[in-house]
Amino acid sequence: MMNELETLIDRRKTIILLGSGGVGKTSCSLGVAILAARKGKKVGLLSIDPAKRLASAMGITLGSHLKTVDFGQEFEMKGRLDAAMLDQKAVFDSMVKKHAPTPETAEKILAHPIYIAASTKLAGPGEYMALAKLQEMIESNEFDLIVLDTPPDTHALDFLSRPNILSGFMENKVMNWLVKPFHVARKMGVSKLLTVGERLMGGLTRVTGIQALSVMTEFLVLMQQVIEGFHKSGEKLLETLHSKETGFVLVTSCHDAALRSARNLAEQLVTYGYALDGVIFNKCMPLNLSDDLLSYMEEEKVNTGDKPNFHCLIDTLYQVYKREREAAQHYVRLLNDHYDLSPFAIKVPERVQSLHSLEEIYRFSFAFDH
Amino acid sequence: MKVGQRMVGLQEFFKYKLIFISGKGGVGKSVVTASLAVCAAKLGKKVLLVENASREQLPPLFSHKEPIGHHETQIMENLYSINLNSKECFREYVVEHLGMANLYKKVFDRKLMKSFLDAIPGLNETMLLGRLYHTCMLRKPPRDYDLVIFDSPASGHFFNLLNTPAAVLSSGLGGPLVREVTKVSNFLKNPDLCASFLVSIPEELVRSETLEFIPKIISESPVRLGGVFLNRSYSQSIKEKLNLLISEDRYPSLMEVKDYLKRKITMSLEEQSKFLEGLKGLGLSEQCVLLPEIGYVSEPLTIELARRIWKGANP
Repeated sequence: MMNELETLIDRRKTIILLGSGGVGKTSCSLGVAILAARKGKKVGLLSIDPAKRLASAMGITLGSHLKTVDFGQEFEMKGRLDAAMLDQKAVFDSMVKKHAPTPETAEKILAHPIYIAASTKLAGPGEYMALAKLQEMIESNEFDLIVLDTPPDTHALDFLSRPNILSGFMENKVMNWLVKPFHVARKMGVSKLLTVGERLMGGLTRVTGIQALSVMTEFLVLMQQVIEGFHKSGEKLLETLHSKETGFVLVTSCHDAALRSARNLAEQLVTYGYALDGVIFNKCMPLNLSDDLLSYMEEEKVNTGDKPNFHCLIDTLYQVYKREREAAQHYVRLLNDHYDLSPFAIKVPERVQSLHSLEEIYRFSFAFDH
Repeated sequence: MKVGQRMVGLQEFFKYKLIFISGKGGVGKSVVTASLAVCAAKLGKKVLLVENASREQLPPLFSHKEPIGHHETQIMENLYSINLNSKECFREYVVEHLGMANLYKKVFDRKLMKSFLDAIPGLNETMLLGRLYHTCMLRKPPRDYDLVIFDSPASGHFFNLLNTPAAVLSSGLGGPLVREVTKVSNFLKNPDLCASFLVSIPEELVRSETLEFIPKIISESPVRLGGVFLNRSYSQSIKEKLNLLISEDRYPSLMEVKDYLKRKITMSLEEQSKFLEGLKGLGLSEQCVLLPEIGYVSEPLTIELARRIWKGANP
């Protein structure tokens, strides 16, 4: 019998995992992707800024390219898993090369000090790069299923609400009204600023100084086609995210802060009309412990006053177990009552050791179909 | 508080104006940060607790139901909190610092200009750091904080944030904004004023990533690394309890519980010593504070719990 996650793998072409930091999104993405590959799918897995350890356990180097994971003969694998663990700058560079009008322009951009600073040192663009890569993978038609492991929630929220970071820039024709007139006026040495746009930029120079703004506009003019290219793929992606072929799965632990993030994420999904298919409660206490714990606690309740001195160890464990169960139930109820959502819920037991080898990663994927 | 082999008090933190606390996601960064702020406030320091998040993490820890936003809000005696919004920081900079309220209304409040500014890489980060600099260095009542503690973004984004001034300064830009950035950059570099602290936990993946991240942040970020907190650490006395539990045969149904606890605690203690060993290799064994494993931390954070986390750190 198939569980709901297996059904989902058949039904969707893209599955996006969301969750706050440290809940194990990357491990769960791997689990889901390997599960699908075991069932015979051609799977593409896209991960942003993953732990180097995971990448090396899978024999993958950080970069912008997909590589087939070699499971060898030992592990049954009806399908195939291609994975890319994205390095922000590598993807950024490849996108610039793709969208720049000529190789010469691409070279100029890649060597520009603002580009170098922005692509290597600044926060932010990584997430958008991943989305651009996702769109490229979808368009290649090479995969039955694509699994996207997203950045932690703060940034995930950004891209849910606005997968196209440049939409305001494009829609308001900033390039035509502000950037180009200023750039041309500077080049021609015109000192009087006549148009509205020029006057606005003149106002801005009072804060930034004229030199800083000149360098910035020069850079944006150089980037024009690249910005347009990013914008177009962002628009297409927005359609993809809303299509019937895309589903979202939340990953959370049972702690208050993680569940609060998960609630925010669910709310965002509803607000923007995305499909929430499932919730993975990761790092749960191994399930077979619960009965033993319960019977011990019952017994101890009878023998009050005679608590053994290791009791506090077990009591803490029991409290965690109880909180965990209540929190998960409460969260599922909240999704039903508040947002009229009824995603499937899977509990994945905590592993004491982390995923070191391909074998451990492969075995971990069984947590998702058993 | 045990710091390697050395005992220190919370005063260690009070010599700074600005403390950044970061670490990989899920290590308990916000609870550690908030509890440190509570302890400092209880010792009579006027503390501002800062975050920069689209969804606030700190107010729920203090039973605040509503987000507090970009307003310095008192949450207990001596303790204030704010969720810095970089767009507001920019407005404050132009209106309050430069005194150009009229210009802001005419130029920066326009949709067209906002869309332009959105496309400028690094502007938000620059404004955020600029605001922290102003809050710490231009102290006027009621903003006369003794200590500003920033619950910073997780490791990767934190690293990028700290490097924004360097990125701006290397972009070939000049002019007044760049002069401001230079001031901010010098402030961050001043080891008497600013320090960053990393939170880690005794788990293999987090431990190894933290140990890889530390040399990077020491050599490539402007802010001095003040120390490392190993959160959720078992004390060595846990072994005794564990052994008692394992040798206990009154409860046969606890077999699996015993196994589980044994694996978990043994692994955690092993990770703890690997972490300390790693720090020793980096010459940082005296800069580590072990924060205790205290079970499930539920909201709100009580003062007792905050004290328990930092116990032994009282003067």
